Amino acid sequence: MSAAGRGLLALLAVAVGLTTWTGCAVVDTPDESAWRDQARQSVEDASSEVQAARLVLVQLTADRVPQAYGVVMLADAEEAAGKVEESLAAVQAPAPVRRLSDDVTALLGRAVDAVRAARVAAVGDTEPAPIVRTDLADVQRQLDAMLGQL
Amino acid sequence: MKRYLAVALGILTAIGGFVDIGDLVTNAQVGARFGLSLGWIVVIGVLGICVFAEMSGRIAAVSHRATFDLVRERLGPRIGLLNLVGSMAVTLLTFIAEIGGVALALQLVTSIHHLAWVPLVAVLVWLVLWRAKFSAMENVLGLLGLTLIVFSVALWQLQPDWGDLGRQLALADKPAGEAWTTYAFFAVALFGAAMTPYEVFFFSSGGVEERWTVKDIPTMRANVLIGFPLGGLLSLSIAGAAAVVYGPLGISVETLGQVGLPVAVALGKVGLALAIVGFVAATFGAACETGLSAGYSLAQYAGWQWGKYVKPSVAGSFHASLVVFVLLAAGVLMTTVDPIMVTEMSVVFSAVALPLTYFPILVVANDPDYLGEHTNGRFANALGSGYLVLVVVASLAAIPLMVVTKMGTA
Repeated sequence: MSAAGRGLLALLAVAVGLTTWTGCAVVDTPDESAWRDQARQSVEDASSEVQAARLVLVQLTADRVPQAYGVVMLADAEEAAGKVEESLAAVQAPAPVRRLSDDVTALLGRAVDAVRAARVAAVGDTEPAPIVRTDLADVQRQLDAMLGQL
Repeated sequence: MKRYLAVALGILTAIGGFVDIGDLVTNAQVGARFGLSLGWIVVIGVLGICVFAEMSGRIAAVSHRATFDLVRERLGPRIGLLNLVGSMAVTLLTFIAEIGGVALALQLVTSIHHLAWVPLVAVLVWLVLWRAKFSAMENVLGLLGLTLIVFSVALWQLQPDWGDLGRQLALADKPAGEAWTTYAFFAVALFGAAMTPYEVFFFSSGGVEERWTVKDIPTMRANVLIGFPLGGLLSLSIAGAAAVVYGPLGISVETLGQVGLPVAVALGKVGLALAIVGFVAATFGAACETGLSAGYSLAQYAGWQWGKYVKPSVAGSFHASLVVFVLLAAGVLMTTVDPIMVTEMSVVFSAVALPLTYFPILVVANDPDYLGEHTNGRFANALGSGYLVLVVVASLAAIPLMVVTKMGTA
């Protein structure tokens, strides 16, 4: 290989190394477009968990699913929703969308609370209170609306 | 009459044994997200596994020797070692996923955390590998796996728009909001799940264990060419049920519980109970098959005595390796790694390892020294070569697609 070729290869190796190294930052600081992409994905994921919880509650109420099965599914939905919330909260939103970021984070928190309430109701072995289903439906509507803003 | 019964039993166990944790999870995930627009991949994958399972079954029936035994002899120890390492790594990953799958299924019934079930399941798998008769293991778990037909009944009960499902299947109609890279990633994952290497190793080694001869070739072909495609229909039913229930709600599938819920929606508790029996049978059966496949591969490469028809005292190294694999699988799962994540990795890396498995089979199936007059004909070679191109493409694309799509989450 020629000297120029070796130099180019070394430059490439340094560039790859630097990119990898700087990509390992403790706090993720995306630009606005990248943050919106991440936020949209988080809201969609949370919406999936809320919808899953609603579906399980309907099946539990109709006695079409054993309680143990429903509880496991709701606990899984709660855990997944919690991870979605934590994941986005760890991202530093850029200044122009910081307020929107606060709204999204708060909404994701409400989604986790609503799914948790569903799980608590299912473990209690009583028919879930209508308020639990109403909360899930409300959060679902808010998540859909938030997707429109993102 | 006895012959017909044997053929029927073989076909039924092939159907029931076709689906494993990779098929369950991947088909439900794809169905929920893409409808039946990736169903054509299942069809291609099932045809591919039929092509190569027939070849490896024929090799076993004619030569009375199993795949790795011949790969090392025919292609030399270096290629043989590469083949062994690649295939065994994927088979062990699948073994871990299957044991995790059994534990997850038991968690759904009891609501006791799956980690509490892992040691018990591992011991049970080892006991079956150690003590149970090969035919009993294959037949009992294969027949119990037939309860997964409940997914087909559920799909029918859900009264889907058959025209729409058919259109998605026929036109490979990718949903508008999905990127082509994500579509391609799940296509590769489905292909890997359908053509999992262990199925061929197990099938071929099982043929040697059951002492197939040339006379058994028609029965073997019936099992493969009827049983596997019907097993593929189960995969499509799982995807279809998920598409109908989850698609309109935008729910993505991430747990085994979500795989089974569409059956409850359609058929209630009885249907769900059958689905769970199917989950346990399919994953437990596949755990036994993958555990044995890993042991077979290692023993055949190393030249050890192997098999369940041989007394354990004679096949000490083979049985010791099974103990090590069971301990390894249980140990990995006890680190709290998510079994569904292991499953997703296993189907992707299955795709990566496909050429390592299927190229040597094609070579050996064309060697008259081993197969005499039973070498591949033109049709088998045309199909085999075509599939070899496909598996190489899938293998090369798997890791880049996994990175670009962040395991399909992007």
